[in-house]
Amino acid sequence: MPAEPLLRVDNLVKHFPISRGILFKKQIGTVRAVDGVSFEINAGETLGLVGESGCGKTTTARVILCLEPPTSGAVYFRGRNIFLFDLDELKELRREVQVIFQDPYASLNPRMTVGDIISEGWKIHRGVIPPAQHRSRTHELLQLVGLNPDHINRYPHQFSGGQRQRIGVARALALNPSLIICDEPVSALDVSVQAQVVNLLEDIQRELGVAYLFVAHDLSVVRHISERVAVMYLGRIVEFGDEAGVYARTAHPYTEALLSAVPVPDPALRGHKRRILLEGDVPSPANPPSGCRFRTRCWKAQARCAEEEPALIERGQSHPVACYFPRIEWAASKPLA
Amino acid sequence: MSSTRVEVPEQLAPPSGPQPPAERVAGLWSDAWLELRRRPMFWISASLIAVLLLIAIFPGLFSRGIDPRDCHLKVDYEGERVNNFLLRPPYVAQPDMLDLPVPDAIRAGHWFGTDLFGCDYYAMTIHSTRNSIVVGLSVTAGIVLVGLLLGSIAGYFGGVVDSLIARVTDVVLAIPTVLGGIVLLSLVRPRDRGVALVVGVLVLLAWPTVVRLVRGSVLSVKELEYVDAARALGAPTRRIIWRHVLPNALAPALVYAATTVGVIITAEAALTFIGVGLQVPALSWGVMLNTAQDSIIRAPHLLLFPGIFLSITVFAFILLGDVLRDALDPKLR
Amino acid sequence: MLSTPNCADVTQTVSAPHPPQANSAPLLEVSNLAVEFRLNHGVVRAVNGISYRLAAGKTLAILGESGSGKSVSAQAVMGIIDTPPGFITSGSVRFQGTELIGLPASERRRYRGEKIAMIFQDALSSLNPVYTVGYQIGEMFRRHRGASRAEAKLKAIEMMERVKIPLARERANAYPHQFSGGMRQRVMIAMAIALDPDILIADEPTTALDVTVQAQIMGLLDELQAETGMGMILITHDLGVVAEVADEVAVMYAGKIVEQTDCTSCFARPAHPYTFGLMHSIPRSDKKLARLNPIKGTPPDLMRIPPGCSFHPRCEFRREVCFTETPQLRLVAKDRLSACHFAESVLAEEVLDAR
Repeated sequence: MPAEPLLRVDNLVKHFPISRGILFKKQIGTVRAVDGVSFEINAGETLGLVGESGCGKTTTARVILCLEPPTSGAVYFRGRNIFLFDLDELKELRREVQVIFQDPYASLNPRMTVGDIISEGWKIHRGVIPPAQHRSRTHELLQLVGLNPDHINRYPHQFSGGQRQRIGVARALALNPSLIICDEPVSALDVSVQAQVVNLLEDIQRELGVAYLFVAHDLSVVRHISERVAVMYLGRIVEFGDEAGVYARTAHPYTEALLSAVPVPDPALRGHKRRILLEGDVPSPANPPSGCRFRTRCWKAQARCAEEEPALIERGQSHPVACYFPRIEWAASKPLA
Repeated sequence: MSSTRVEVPEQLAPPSGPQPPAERVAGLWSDAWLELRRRPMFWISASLIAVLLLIAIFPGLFSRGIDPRDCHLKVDYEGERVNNFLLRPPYVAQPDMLDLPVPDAIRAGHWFGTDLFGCDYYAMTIHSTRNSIVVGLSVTAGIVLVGLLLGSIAGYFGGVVDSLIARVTDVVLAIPTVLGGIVLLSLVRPRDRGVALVVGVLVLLAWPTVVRLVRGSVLSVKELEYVDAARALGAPTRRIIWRHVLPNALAPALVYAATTVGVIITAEAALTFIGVGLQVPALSWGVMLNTAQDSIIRAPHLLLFPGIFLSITVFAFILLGDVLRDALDPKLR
Repeated sequence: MLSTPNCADVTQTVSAPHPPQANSAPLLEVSNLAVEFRLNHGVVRAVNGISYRLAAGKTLAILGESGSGKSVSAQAVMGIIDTPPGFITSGSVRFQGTELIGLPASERRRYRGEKIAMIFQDALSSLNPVYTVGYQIGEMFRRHRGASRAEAKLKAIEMMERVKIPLARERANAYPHQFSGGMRQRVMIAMAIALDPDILIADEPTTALDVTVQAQIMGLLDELQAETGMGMILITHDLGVVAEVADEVAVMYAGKIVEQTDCTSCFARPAHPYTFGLMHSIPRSDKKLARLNPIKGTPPDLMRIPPGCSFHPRCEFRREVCFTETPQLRLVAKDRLSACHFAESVLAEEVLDAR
């Protein structure tokens, strides 16, 4: 039996109030950014959290990192609910759960040297690395991420985007975390550099056994790096399973539409691909549709879909899906497989 | 074609490849310095200010050893009558005409002539520099400190704290500086109106703009990802503000400060000219201007020299502020 | 397929490559175009001599990463480069035989918008936030066709319907920020095709959009092109988008075209190490790869382009000659141009399919 999961998210909810007022604000609505999300991550594995803009994946990541307070729900790290931590325990948690951000230009303080950026964690958490070893340890980390240790006194703007992202990785590794939340870590990079950073993350996982929550909208990258994948839409997870299941035996219509929309870099497949076009725009998260949230754009929608929201359960496929009419058979010779 | 392939190292490109740019550095003080260095306006204003600072610190060097209080007609500010002039503090009665006509004064070695009491005007002008500079710099330093403190608290914490500070700021901002200065200063006995009081009053009236500036840039900086990264590392709030937010929110406040020095000096001169600021026997251009206003027709030089010095000083600081803004602003992003 | 009652209605077959038109005179002919930016601290040579042709009804994809010069080259064709600091230092741009570079501004304006139109990546910053969408689209008709405000408004609504914006009549009075990203992009497309241009230049039109919206927009562009027969220049870094819509591909690196060929050959058998590296380094959504093979190093600083072949610091195939001699764009196989000393050996290394 597998050991207890490293991270367990239990029905996490995050609503943002929409308010008005000058001195005293009155609430007139809520943006239901994350509306009941549950999943688990085991030690050393990568869970991909994928979805389009506004689906709530970044908000989920921020709440897990305690950068935003949750509205309700729990997140258990090594079995303990992190929202019940006091300040000291929260500080301890920070050592175990780290983050890599999307924008290589905004995620590093332009007025700090690279060495300062990487070693900041040790100055906050005294006792992890004695001050005498800060410099040597920084050198090691720079080498680990493929940067020249001689550049330790340079400033972020003297590096390229890909190199800055590597600095971000080094910073995340400084405290030896067991889980790193990657929030779109390669989206802002050039294509030829994305692969470098992806490989780096994989190498680190293999060497150090770090687990990743990989949040992204790029389905190809997520497929490559993740063992398991959760697809989000309007604040809920609509499909959740291992990578082969979600991509090759896609069950939820939204995931199907999403995958069919991704342009495949193979001109030989032109003219053969069936593309599902969704109509209209994503509904506002302040006012999601009743029942199944996807029903307003779904071609399979029927009366039942408006009445009750389908739960994320196994319905005869290999993995849980939140739909009353999921696909349960796949053509043998699917061009997309 | 030979079949030897040159191995590409796992690390980045070999020396012939792209080097981290040496010059094109953005967002650092050194880059701002490089920008500044290139601009002639910076050197003009910086030299002017350097000279003025020297004059303020070592007035004796520039005044050729002449004591500005070594006047032909002695005035005793404590007594009632002196030299046949009726004296009633706080007012100093003016002689009817210049003790010494200007051309004679100049021939006698007074470069700027003399004032009505025969004091060397050049020495007076030189010695007055100190008060103006001191007031300008102290007030600016004061409002920057207050601004950084309140602005960062308001910007970072938001909510009720921010609303409160913002509303107080609005109220004080609505008070016209000179008018407010007149009201506050006239509450105090003229005898007690010293440099410290004037500095205090001006700080009290001028802090709002800096608070707003700092608040604005703190608001934009705190959304940046490196602040989130610091929080994710477990940094306590004071560290985040001190090391991450403030250094990056500083630039607009500094630009404003440079320009404000000039404005403050003008404000002090104006208040003193009106009569509510520094008082005789304090040496200040405003005092000199105040004393001169009755004699404009007969002795225009009394107005001319302090006016010129005042204008040059204000000009120098405003020019510096302009140049700083140009050098810093595009890089602020 | 079970449980998909309306699947046929909503699926769209991505169109097969457009059939070649034998005698299409070039709509646009760019020869040896070079653009540089003269800045305080140096000269940035953004475009270093590129040439291509575009025929009516065809799509040319200019593929490149940041710093490749792809956007600048398109801006030069449109004539919207800020001078100073940008200068077109050489080359010609011929539209249906007429030389565009060097035309006086008033003349140039007759081409811009009417004959050659451009859409950009970020619709929000390309649209004026204080005017309604209908007003901005109508401006094309007011300025270029002398239409009255009422006529322009009607035409604007017609354009919005053509790009499939729902409730066009009401939404013509809305402001740009009230639209979603995809809808704003449609507005920009409506403005661009309003005067029935012969060429549409699309500069990263879908990079900022979600993938489902991207599919909608690319489908729309495809339809419009089929309807009007206009030529399209698509500038992008997304290999998937290129594979789906392009007839011809020009790959740019450090301001030069390094490979130019038809789309299928480019992907199946690249003739330049850079293209080869790109093809091998991207993950796929339709299959799981064991490991990615990135191109080592980073794109060059355009003020310090490496000597010899500008790609040599990152090239797997390089040899001594690559450090010193700049390869010219030459014919290496039928209809295939490549700027590499060893293009033939790159061609011989087939793109490995299954890994």
